Amino acid sequence: MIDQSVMRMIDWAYLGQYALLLANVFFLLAAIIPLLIGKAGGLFQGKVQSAFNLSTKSQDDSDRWVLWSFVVGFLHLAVAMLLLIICLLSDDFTVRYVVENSNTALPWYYKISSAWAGHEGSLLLWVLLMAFWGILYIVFSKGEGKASSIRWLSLVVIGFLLFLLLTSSPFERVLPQFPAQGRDLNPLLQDVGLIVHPPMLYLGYVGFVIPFVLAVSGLWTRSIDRHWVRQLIPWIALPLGCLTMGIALGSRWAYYELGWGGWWFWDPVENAALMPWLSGIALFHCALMAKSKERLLHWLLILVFLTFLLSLMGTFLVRSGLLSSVHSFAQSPSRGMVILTLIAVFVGGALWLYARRADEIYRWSTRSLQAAGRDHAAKNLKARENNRLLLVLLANVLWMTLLAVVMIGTLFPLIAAAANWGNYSVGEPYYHQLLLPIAIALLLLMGFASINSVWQRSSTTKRVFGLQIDVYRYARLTGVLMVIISLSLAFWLGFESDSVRLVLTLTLIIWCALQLLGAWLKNTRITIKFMAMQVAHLGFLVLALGIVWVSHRELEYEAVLYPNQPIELADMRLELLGSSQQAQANYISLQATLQIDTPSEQLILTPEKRWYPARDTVMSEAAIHASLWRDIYLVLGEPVDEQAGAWSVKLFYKPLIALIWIGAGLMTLGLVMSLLSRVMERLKRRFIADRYTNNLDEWP
Amino acid sequence: MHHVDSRIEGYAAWWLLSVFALLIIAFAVALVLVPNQPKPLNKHLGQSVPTLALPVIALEGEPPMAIDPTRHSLLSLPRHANDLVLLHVWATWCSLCRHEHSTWLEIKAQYPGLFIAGLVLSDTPSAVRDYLQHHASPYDELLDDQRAELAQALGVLATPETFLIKGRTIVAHHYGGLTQEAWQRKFLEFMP
Amino acid sequence: MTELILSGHLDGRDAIVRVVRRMALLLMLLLCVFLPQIRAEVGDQSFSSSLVTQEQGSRPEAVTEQRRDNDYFTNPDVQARYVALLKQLRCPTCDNQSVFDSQAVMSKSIKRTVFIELQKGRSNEQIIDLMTQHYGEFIHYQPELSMLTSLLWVFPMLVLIFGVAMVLRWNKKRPQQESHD
Repeated sequence: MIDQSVMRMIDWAYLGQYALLLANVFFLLAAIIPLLIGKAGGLFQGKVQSAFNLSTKSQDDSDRWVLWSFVVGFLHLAVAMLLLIICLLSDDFTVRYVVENSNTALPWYYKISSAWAGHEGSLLLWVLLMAFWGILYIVFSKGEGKASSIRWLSLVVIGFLLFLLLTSSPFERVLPQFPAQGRDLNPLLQDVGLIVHPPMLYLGYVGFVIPFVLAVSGLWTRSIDRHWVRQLIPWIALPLGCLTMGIALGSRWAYYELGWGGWWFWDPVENAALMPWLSGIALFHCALMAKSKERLLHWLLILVFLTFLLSLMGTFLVRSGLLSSVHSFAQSPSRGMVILTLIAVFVGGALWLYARRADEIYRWSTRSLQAAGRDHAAKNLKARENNRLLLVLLANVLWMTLLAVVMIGTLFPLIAAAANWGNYSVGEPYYHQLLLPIAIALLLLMGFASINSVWQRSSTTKRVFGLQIDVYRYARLTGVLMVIISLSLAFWLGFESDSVRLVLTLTLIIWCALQLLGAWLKNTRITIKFMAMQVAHLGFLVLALGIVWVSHRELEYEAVLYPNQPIELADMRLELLGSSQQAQANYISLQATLQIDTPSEQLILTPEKRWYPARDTVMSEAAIHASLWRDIYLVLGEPVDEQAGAWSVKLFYKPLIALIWIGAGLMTLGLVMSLLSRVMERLKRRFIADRYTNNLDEWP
Repeated sequence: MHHVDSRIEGYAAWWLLSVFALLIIAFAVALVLVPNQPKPLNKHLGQSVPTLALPVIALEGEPPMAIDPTRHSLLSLPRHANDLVLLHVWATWCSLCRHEHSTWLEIKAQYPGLFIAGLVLSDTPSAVRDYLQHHASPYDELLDDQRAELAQALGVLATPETFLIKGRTIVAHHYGGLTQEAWQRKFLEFMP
Repeated sequence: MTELILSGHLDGRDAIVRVVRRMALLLMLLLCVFLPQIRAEVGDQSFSSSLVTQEQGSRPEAVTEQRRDNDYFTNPDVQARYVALLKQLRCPTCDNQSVFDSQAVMSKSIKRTVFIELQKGRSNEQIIDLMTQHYGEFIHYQPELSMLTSLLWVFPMLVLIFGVAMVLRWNKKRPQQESHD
């Protein structure tokens, strides 16, 4: 594709190393400029300004210089990434990273994606994306104190960039004797899923750095109040959306690439991505509530720090070698120590700052309200708001409990091994046992919260656990409805003992969906914000439905097939039509062609076995016929009788599994819609600004 | 009233900070203590060898074996009751085993009197014979563990693995390919 | 039934609400009509009960031998127990994969042992015990309850109790007033 001799004329890797160094310099500048030319002339009493002929209205100038040097730093990082990709494309085997992750026979698109398949490259992507969030923040945020947040962000980026440069530079050389061929990309990673999944996941992971620096800078400049929360919300919603999408893509990738028919394995690396997601959801809900409740600011700050801590912890666990997993990188404990130090410095520093200023937060946050002559804290909440607040807080406690389950399950084997208490494994049965009751409680709360949004006061209102409930109405809406749903489900699914759990969970899901529908019908003023919430909640229900249904109703068969001798599996007829061997660019493929006749259709599926000579690995490529209702998933096992051409095959029938990814997609859509509502509101405010001036505090 | 509360929140924040510090210290300790990719210790170290009769793979030159129960359960054989037996779990399809083969030949040359038994997992006798004809054989006896039954009873994780048995008790064990370094670290002290 | 479901929410007299309500009813009716089809696609209970039936090709002995090797019980209850056990056991060779998912030699060996023990009529606990004797606690994906492993259940429980207590305390302290919507 690209003329190699031209590509080799320039020493790209050398330039790359320089780009990284320069990026570091610029981020450093962004962090320290205000010290040089800040307030009252900065450290050097105006000498810097006069030397460079700058104006002495220093505050604005220094702010502008901070932003610009950050942007230039980001551009250098982007160039470094580009140079790494060029090294990979030009098969420059003097670079260690290229030797370890690429091969001349690799197709060009996998050469590009191998830029984030190894530890060094993915860390570069990590830092690049971190800076990219900074750019997004510079462009789209319109708050004061922008420069202050960007300075804190520069410090975080510098930390990771130093880690990259000092312990794991992607441009390190193998000189003077370099190999003629690379070790190839791990075959597991040679897949379209890998091209999109890690960047998306990292975008989510790393994005929580923005709430983090906003919190630190807010604490530093003593400006945490309602307005601060409002500008924080989109910077939670965006990374959370990316993380949701990233996890969903990752699970989809595992589903068709690992070839075990599962879509979630409770693997430590998956858990590492799940933990910031769980905490991110709690954070998002907390931020939505804290818009109008100053007392929630403490919870909000702690959740911001926790979420950032968890996303750093994820990368620490994956890269330090503490956990063994299918997905983990080549690891070394010394790297782990560096990441641990970074975590200790950043999160520890932020917590220290918070501890120093925790007493004052209440004062700052009510400052503007008191100035306006109103004491919001003393204002009584309407019963409806009170109920909703309480339910959301309880739901947050449940999300935290989920987090605790995943966290202890992931760390327990580690703790036991470190303390020499023995080797333990924690897996699917444990998680299923604990997650099911929590998920049921979450569904209940979600349903209640939907009723609550159409709550009306009547003569039968009672106070139950702080909730103000119209008891009869609730009894009718929940008890009666649930009995009806579960009875009809039981008639449909049968009264066997094994379907009891299925009926229970389905009842809850349907009940919850009806509450959502009811809230929708009842609501007279449907805003985009309301729609966003409904879509996201619906996504959660769809996800739950998919999980519940597929885990109770999936079927699995194993059979041995001889060519042209069909066998019957339940109501399907399975026939091996033949198999063929082909040499591809960097692997040899053995492809079987099978015909499946179901009562309604005839399918031709072609599962594969691939042998990758560079790493002497055999991979199974599953053949999946996906539809909305069910997936038929076929994997080749082993050759049983080579002369006769017989194969053992595994066939999975997975009903409604598509709902899992559709649900995740809906949740992301909901988060994106919540951003849209802000854009709309901003536009509206601009057009009718004079009619509703200063209405900031009036919003729910 | 809220002043009192906010002071409580301040204390809570310091408390949080110390929990975080403890967490970081715990991780640092774990990082130092836990070796890279920890493997479970073999449960049978210090315990007696499970007895299980397995067919023997006859090498070239030996007459093909009839089913003989005394020769079928090497590990309960009286003649080895007080001897050292080095048990090597391997297979011809295992690439790590091919890499360590030279080490095994060296050990056999060093200790000609040491009884080395091979436990061959899920393999065909003819493939084993072919392999050992091409590369010399360090084994005194080869057991055919077609369904990895004895291996399972021994708690084998994966091929290759090495057990040192003294008087029917397992005294030393090694995961993965055997190297001279591993030999000296784990097995040398038991050698006469 | 549908009337009851909706009546809880819909006591508005608005014309629009009434239209939407009728549409919802229509939707539900349609759902009822198409339910059998959906059920045929999704539910299929006939599917699972005829798990073992199989047409024998011209090499029946080879096929049945292999089938037995892959281990199927004709009794669906035992088969379910068998699969559940395999999912609880960890493949010794692999990186974090269950025996059920794995094709490694050691996993096959464990599958066979579990199969044989089930045929002997052993209980789940006895089989897990046997595997723990061979491999230690490591082999079991759900650790046995002990002083140490109780941490796995106690820690989330503490988080839950602490969280709920905090929320309720917080709620109690907030000034409340019966207000009217």
